[in-house]
Amino acid sequence: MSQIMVLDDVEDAGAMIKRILERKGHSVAVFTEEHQALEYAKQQRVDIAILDIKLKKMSGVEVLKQIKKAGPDIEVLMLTGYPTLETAREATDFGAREYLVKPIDKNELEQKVHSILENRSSA
Amino acid sequence: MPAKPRESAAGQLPLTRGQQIRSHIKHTLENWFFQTAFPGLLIRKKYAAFQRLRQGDRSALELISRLEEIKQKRLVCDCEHIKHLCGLLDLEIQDLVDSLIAFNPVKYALLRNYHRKYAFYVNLALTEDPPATAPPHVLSLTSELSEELAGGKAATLSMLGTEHSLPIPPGIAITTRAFGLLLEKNRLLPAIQQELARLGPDHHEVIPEVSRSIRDWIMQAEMPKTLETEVSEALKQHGMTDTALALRSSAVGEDLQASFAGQFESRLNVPPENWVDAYKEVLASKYSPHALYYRMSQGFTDLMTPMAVLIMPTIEAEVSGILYTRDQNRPEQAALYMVSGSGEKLADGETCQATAEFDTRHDRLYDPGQSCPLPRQTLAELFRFGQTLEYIFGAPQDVEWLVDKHHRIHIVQSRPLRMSAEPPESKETDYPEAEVLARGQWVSSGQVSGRVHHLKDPSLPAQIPADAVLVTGELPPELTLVLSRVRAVIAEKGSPACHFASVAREAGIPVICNAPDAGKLEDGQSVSLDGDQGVVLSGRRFASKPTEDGAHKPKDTPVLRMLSKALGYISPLNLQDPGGADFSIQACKSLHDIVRYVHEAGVREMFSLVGRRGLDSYGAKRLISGIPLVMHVLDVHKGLTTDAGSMKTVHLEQIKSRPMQQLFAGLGSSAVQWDQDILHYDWDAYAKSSADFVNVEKSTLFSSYAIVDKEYLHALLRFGYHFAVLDALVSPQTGQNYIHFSFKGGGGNPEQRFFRIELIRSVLVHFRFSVSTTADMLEASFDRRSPADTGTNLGRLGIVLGKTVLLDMRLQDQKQVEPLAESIIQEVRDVFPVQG
Repeated sequence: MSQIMVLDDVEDAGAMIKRILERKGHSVAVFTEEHQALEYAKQQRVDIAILDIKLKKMSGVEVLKQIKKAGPDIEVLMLTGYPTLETAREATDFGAREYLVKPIDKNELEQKVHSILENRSSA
Repeated sequence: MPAKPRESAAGQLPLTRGQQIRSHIKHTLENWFFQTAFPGLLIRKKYAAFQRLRQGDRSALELISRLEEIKQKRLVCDCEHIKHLCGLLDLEIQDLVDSLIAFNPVKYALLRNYHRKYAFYVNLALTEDPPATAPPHVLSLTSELSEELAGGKAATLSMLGTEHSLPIPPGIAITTRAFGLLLEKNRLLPAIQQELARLGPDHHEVIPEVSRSIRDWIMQAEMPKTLETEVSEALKQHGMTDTALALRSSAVGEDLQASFAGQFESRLNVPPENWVDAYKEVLASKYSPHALYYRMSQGFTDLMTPMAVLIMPTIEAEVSGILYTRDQNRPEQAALYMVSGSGEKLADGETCQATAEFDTRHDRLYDPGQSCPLPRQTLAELFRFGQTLEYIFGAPQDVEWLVDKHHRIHIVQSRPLRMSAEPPESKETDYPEAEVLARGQWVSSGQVSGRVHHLKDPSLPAQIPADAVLVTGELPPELTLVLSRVRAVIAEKGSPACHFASVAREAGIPVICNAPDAGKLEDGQSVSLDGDQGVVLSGRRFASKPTEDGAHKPKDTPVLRMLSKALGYISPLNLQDPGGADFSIQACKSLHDIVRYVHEAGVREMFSLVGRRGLDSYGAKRLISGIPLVMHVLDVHKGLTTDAGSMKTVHLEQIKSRPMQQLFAGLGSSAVQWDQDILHYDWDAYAKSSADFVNVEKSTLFSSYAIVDKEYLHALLRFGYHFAVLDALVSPQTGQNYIHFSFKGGGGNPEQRFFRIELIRSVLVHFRFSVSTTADMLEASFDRRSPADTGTNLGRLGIVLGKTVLLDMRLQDQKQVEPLAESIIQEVRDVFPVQG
């Protein structure tokens, strides 16, 4: 069972991701506040962090940098409703593994999480 | 300050809740206002949106199919062209979504998010990092160089010198980053990409023009001062300020993933003060017509092959040449090809002065003969270097070398030697019965038949017939341009050790050279060529391989991989069944799905265009059709003849709308016997009307109506107690055509109405309509068929409608349905026979 953390200031998005991934047997913790998510990542085992790009106080890329500092092995999947090539490139440069664009599609989310976990186990 | 739209799991909501309500109210009021004050205008507005939608649908589907064709046929084009097509597709879909949203801003607003999502994934699949510009800009060949910084040739030479102490010339590499810096400082990249976007699969016409523009821009570019200073310093440090210089291309990918043999230019004997111009000339050669074609055919993007340039002192060569560490036909032998002086004439396929061969199994040099300009000792040393290189790279090599006046050997290039994939023993090698028309020397293996074509101008490949066996004087690198259009090449002169030979072997095109009789072959003559045996035979004796089927094109290239990834978000069609519950915005998983959804939703919007109240005061004209049916016609675009413009009534002959004509060909056919004493209009509404007296023939209140253009019909048909809505398009584009039909009501009890629905269903299913029924409602569709089939089925539908009206109360029993349906089918077939 994988430990997945979701940070999205939109509650329904986090809840939806939790519902989809828990049905696949993952354990999912959802946060809407940046500092709570970062604290959690420092203290708990996290396999994948799903981070929204647009948050309340910090940018998702800023959170990505801090999460990678807290746990370099944490795989990061960036989530956004307003995608740009610049942020995608920036996120990839700072170690994000995948990029998921809203509207969230159940199969796409499952497939991206699955592929991250598979790459992780074969690495 | 207006509230910002909030985000949800569905992405950025296009409208806040308040905006949704306001937009909905505005839309409803606008509709009501126009419906009341300018009803014709509202219909025309919606019709215009529908027209845009139809055009956009066609353009989007065409673009999708062009992208799929490039992938499937592995068509040679620049990746910028693919990006350009995807950009156009994005714009078309943007327009489609906007047109649909014009029908109902709230209902379809979410479609924007889905479009944005998949368009972004397509962009992400095709995006490349911009060229790097940060230092280092200059590196010494005495250090170990990476391909990314110094290009393939320089990386190989530095490795041979530093790791294996092989005799390579001294020199420096101006890195790929320097090239990036030059492009950035002169803001050339966007302009270059715009030009490259013109190189689609039909690039032959424009490639010289594109090439000229880009090369001119590079030659006119200003050299960044810092870069100029840095290179000048490096030349000083390497003692190259008072010696003639040689500048050689060293692109990323060159000599490694693909040979790029002879595609780029070198500049020799350059005075040191002129290095800047020579540098720009070598850079510009990246965009020569044949280099552009070669890069595209190998499936690389422009950004994947940035150019570094090697600067070395020009070494005065006594003898220059090429060493193949394996002979194609005799793998135990290595072969040397040489000329006196510099090696350009040899590399450009013009001439070869002498050859020497070496038995690699017994380490033995064959007698090179009197004409060989090198002593045996030097030849043996060269062959030993060849063996070392083959050992280092683990594969046969194609080595460029030169010997200076002090008899010192210099290795100037080593790249993989392309060998024929087919073993020689599997081929026919003896032709005792055949008439030999010409004999020459092997250059590239293979056996093909075709028709002789003497090459006049390699820059005009379009003039070459599809199955050409090309006859040429020499084998210059410019021939790369015509490679995709020929089956084989025969040269009167030349040598197997030229740049073009490497490219031909890579492409699997058989070539022979030194065939003096080739000039006697006649244009159009059928010949067969055996590359291994070096013979040209009369007639066609080998299976002809078509040249345009992609047989010799690389199957898996970086550009094809990028395109495949992008197509994953473009092509798949998940929305299959428009009637299915999952036919929704949320089920769109590709751009194709969005196009399909918009089309279907647009058709549905047109289907419910006017509502049951009809064309009241819309300014429609009364139709005189000879059928006792009260009907009004509103022309939105070229649906009536021009003389109908000022009239209040219109006759059937004045109808130009093709679907309307087809419908009346059925309604007015001999299969329907109208009772002229019974006038058809909305009897029920008229009976309930509070009006004291209404002239039903002139009023649109209870009449049937049709909105028409030349190819389109939207009709509400009111036959007494029956109602039918018909929406149809009959255009030359099969993919756009459709008939959507719904039928409801009618006289009689519920059972009788059910029997009637069953009857219509049986007949329509027979004529290949898709039909669904609920209670006394029937919906039928006939989609994406040829204009002829769609038109014919509209006529059939006309008969079915007319017959059904006349049946009215006659159906009392289920048992009557089947024989009646069969009899109607037969009558319909008599008027509109089933072809084939």
